[in-house]
Amino acid sequence: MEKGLRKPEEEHTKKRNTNSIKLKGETNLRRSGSSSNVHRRNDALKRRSASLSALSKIANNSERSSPRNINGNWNSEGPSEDKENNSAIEHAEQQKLMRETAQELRKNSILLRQAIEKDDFVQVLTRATEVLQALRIPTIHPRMYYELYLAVCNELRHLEWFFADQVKRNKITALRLYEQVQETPHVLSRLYFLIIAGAVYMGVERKLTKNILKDLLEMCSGVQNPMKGLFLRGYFTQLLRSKLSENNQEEKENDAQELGITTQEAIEFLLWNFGEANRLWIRMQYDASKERFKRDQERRQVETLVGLNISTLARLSGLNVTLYSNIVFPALSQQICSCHDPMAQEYLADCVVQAFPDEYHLQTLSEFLTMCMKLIPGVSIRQIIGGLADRFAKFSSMSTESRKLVEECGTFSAFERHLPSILSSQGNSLSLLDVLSTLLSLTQFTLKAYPGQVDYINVLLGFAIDSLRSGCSITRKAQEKSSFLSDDMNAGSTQRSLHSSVTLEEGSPEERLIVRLLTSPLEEYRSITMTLKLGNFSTLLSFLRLEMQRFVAASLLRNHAEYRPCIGAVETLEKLFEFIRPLVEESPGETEFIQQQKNANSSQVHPFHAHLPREVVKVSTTKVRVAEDDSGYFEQVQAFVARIIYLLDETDSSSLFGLYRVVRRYLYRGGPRRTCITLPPLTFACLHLAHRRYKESALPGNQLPTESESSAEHIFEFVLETLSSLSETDAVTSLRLHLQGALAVNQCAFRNDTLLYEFFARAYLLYEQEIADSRIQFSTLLLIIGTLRTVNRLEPDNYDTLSSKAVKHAAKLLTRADQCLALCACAQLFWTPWLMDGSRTFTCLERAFRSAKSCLALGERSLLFVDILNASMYLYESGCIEIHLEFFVDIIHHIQEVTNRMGNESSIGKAASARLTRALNYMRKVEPEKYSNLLHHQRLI
Amino acid sequence: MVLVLTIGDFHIPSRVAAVPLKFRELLVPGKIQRVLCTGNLCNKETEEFLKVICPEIQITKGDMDDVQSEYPERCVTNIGQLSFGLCHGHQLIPWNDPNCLAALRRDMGVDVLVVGHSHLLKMTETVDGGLIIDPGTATGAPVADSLDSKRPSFILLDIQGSKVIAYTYEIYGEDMKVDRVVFERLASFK
Amino acid sequence: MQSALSLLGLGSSCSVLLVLDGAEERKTAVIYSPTSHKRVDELPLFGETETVSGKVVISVREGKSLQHMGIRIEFIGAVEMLYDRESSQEFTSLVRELEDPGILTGTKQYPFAFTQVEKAYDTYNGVNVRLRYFLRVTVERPPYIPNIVKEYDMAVAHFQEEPQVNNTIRMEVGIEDSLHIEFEYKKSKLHLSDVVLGKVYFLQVRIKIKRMELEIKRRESAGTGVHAVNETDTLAKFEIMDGSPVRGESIPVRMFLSAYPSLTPTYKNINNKFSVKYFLNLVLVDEDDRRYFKQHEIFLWRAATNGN
Repeated sequence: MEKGLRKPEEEHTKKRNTNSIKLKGETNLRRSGSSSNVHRRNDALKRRSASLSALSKIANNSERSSPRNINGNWNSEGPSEDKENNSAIEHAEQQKLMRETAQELRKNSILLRQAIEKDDFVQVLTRATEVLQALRIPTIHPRMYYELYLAVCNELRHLEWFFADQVKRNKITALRLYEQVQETPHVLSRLYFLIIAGAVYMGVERKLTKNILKDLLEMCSGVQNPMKGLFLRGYFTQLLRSKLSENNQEEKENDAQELGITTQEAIEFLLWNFGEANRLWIRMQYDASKERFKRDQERRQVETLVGLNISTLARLSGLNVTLYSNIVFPALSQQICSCHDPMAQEYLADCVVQAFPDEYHLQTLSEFLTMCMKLIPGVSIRQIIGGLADRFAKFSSMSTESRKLVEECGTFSAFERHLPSILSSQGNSLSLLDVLSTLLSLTQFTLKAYPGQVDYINVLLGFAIDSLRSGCSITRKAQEKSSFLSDDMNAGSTQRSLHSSVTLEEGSPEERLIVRLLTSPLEEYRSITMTLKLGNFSTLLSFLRLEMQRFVAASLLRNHAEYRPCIGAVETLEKLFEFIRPLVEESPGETEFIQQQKNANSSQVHPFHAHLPREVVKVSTTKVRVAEDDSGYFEQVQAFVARIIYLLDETDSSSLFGLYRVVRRYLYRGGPRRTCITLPPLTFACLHLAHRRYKESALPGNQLPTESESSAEHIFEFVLETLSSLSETDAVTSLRLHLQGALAVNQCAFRNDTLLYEFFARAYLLYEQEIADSRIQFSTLLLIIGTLRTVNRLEPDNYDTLSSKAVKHAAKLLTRADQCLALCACAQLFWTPWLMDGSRTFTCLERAFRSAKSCLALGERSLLFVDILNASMYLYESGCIEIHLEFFVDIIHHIQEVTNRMGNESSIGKAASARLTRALNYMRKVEPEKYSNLLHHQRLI
Repeated sequence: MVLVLTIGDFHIPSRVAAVPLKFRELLVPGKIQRVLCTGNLCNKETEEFLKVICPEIQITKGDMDDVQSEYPERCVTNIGQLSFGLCHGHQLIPWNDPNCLAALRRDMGVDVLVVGHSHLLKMTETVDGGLIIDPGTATGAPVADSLDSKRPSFILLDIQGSKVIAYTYEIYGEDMKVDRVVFERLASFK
Repeated sequence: MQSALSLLGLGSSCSVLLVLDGAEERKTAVIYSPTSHKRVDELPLFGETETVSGKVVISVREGKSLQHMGIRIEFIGAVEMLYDRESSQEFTSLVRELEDPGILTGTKQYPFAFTQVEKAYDTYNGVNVRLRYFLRVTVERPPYIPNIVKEYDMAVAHFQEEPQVNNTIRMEVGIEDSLHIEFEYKKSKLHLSDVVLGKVYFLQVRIKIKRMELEIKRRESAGTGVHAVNETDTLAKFEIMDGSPVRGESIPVRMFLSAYPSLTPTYKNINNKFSVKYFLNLVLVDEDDRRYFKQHEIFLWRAATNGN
């Protein structure tokens, strides 16, 4: 049987030279020489003691002397039983095994409790051994093992109590107990017993605590199975932890001392155990029988057993900054650096970050970052440094004292100093995503901790740029070439497109991170001037694709608190426009697209054709609209650009005008889509400024030459220029603004009405050439009439020209109703405080009446009659006696006739007669004297 | 008791950047039952701002509102026992003429006419027992036909049957002034 | 050998009883089975030259009489070769006559004493060999009638001085290119309730080790020449490591010998008949259940302070 079994392993056996065992015998050793042997072992020792340098005092593992005479023979036997490949146990089998073990455990637990009740020491020991047998289960999944562990721990608590009770009642001495449990033949069970007995022993003999702990830790290395060892060491830590905290409750002074050891000793023990646990944990990685993924997964599930040591360390009440920075951190760092395992480094560094207080981290930041530099490539720097930065951020926002502490510790400069080398030490394994994410965390921390330090943020943005550049070095060469050839402007855009096309995919996390990097300071500062100090801002921005550049630029504008004026210098303003260039400038291709649309509309159909559907006409006459889903967003964002005008500091009016010029220069670059939103505010601001200049010049002793660059007239001319450019894109708005301009000019007593007339003339021009929609024609004409009626500085001739034109256009409106109403309005133009031309007034009303009568729809006609009546009444009441009695009577009769014809069914008819009634009532009750003639007219009643 | 916000002439962003912070802090959702807006919002955001305060809203078209907007030129609505007319006012020539406004109120047959355009907060009782309310400009937007600067203002109406208690809110520099005026026995004439 | 000392051996017509002096206070020694290591007997314990005294009580059943050819008691130390009775040997034999030939009736007591009798060796109960001390009471009967013989066993233990020289056992062993360790036991001479202390240091590990055990082995050699018989037996198995270590790992060894009461001191060529040697056997078991072991002799001795 033995032979048969050994066959498949022939290869194996060959190597070992069959049964007798080729041995690392004398010859071998002699050849290599004992000195080399010693050397090698010393190396091993050195490595070992180095990894535990802080613990050398207690580790005491260097007593070994070099062996001189080695004649050892190894003996070996073949397998005695069937080959049992534990690692190959399938999941189902594992579960079966687990079930059986758990069942056995339950049974044994009951027996153990019974034995404890009977107070039978020997029996208890036997039963407890059986309970612990569950933990000796062959390799199973950590999760299942954990379940067993918990169940066993539960039983061990009883045992702990029992042992303590035995000692208390002097049934056995603590020492004897400690020795007796060591007779347990299985090492795993024995060590669990030993830890419990040790705890009891420590409780009795505090002087011995140190020795006991040392002994326990030394003995624990008997378990070399990584998972079992980890749980065992976890049990040790937990026990120590509970002992420490137990005492802590009673006496807050110093938990370790209460236990019989100094804090430093407690630290050393925990560090020691931590080192061992970590080694075991890392060893799980080398279980070649499992797939890498599975190993990683299983390791993750037991990581807390290692981390438990760190958190226990952090909870030591005697721990202070000095101990931390002199002992704890160097040891942890040493262990982390030397373990050469990415998962361990990542997890443990994160543990350190999370476990210890911020104050400690602040004191040891430089050391911590130095450690980060030594971590092997692939470790998530972003999680570690990001986690630290997040903590600092929270800490700094806690109180002013904490922020001060952060500052005093030179936290930022430490980051600044170490970050480049950390990033470069990680080399290619560090993804752009990691770098950016780390930088984002640092940015957020810096914003919290150093609210005013724009420079710091700029440094971080600079790091981001560096990492982006090094990420696409090939692209940069190409870009340099192209910038050689083209001028500045084009170079910018080429650069942009190259960067965005190569490094950042649309919607990628990297892209989002850059956006966050750029927007976080904005959100924190809420001040454009602060942001403008970030020299690296636009460079970093240029790495994004255009859409995201616009988003960031918009958020720069959006995040300025309450539009506080803050820009006083042209340079600042230009800088701002540089920052938000993607928003302000038209992107290549955009114009063509719109142009195509516009052309398509105008070439296919003539806009003035009366039978055209309204929507088509609109395109050519009003705002150019691009069929885009985000047009609402576009408008919203452009509204932010438009608001830049409100950020300008308005202390000095002439320099303010200089700023306006700059603003217009930049806004012009936006193309029609943008200017129709961005120019109106500028126009208004200019009108406002013109008023201001005018008032300033009117002040006594402050005579400004009218020829001055920034005189009111100049500003109005500037407005005219602006508006003419707007005319091409948004005729209606331009027209309206021309009228506003007219109103504004009218406030200034200039030498002549040239400017005033110009505004009106251009408004008419726009009306005639650009407004095709009849509804818009009507409303616009009404606006012109209203404006014309309001201004009072036109020369009579000019007024006559303009008002006659109004009448002419009114009469030419498409519908009778529009004509009628517009003519009624025109009537007002001839009855003003400065012009009381009763006959022309009346003529307008008459023409309106004629138009109304030509209206074929009865209802509409009746309403129009009432409108004329109302208009006539107003003018009559203001003294226009040319509106004679017969006219009124005629209108009233027409109304009555029409409403009678319509009868009671028509709601419009009813409305009309109600309006008439109200007008008549008004005449009777409110102004009976004025209308006495009319009221006494026979035919009315 | 119904709280009605009368407000208008925002001119955002063409004349001012935003509604003053003080007003924004005051005008929060859940307090106001109706909004009568005279117009000249000039911007979709402003409409959203008002709709958030209260979804029950009437808006008429101002002279600077988008020509494409669906706002009516004027509208009539009943609140409590009173009828309200709403109109921006730029359509009435001559502009801001009290007689003209009185005539419109009469012609529309409403108890209260809410108008804008003048950017001056004003409440006038007409000889025939009506009320004309101009809430002024909510943002203090300047007008071209005046050299004077304008004060941000709005009027909150507390309608109790036929009684109107008007609270006027005006910002003078850094301070906000609130006044209370009571109008009783409106609707005497229809 | 089935019961304690005061039990009476039954004859057909009389009973023979032996009572040792101070039996109540006397220490006892437990005798373990050489194969199962279970306890099989408990005997009164005597030192090297301790006087063995007591009395023999012989009771004849009432109304009967016993004719005898003399009564004697012997103190015998014997090495019994279990596989080869012929080479068994009594190395000590002392006789005390208790009664001349005559007729016994009723109960009669006979005190006896073997003053300072030399007991050169320890009692040993092995697989193939047994070293016994016993008292034999013989009631000699007339010819053709079998004698009445009763044997009473006792145990003898010698206490030893602590050895002057007690070297550390240290050794480096390996299999080329796969396993190489160095182990060390603090002492090569241990008393019976001593603790084996040491450590195992792994210099090279290229095989998957499952566990490591420390065994105590006993080798009993009996007889000489062609009749020599060796018997090896594992008395203790003590796991000292679970799982596979990596290079540089140092595993502590601590084994309490008191857990194994069937241990005896090392015996060397006792009366030219037998020897008992003990070995510590370090065993490594790999994942495929192959065993690698290295054994090393240790010397066990009995310390005076440690009782048995």
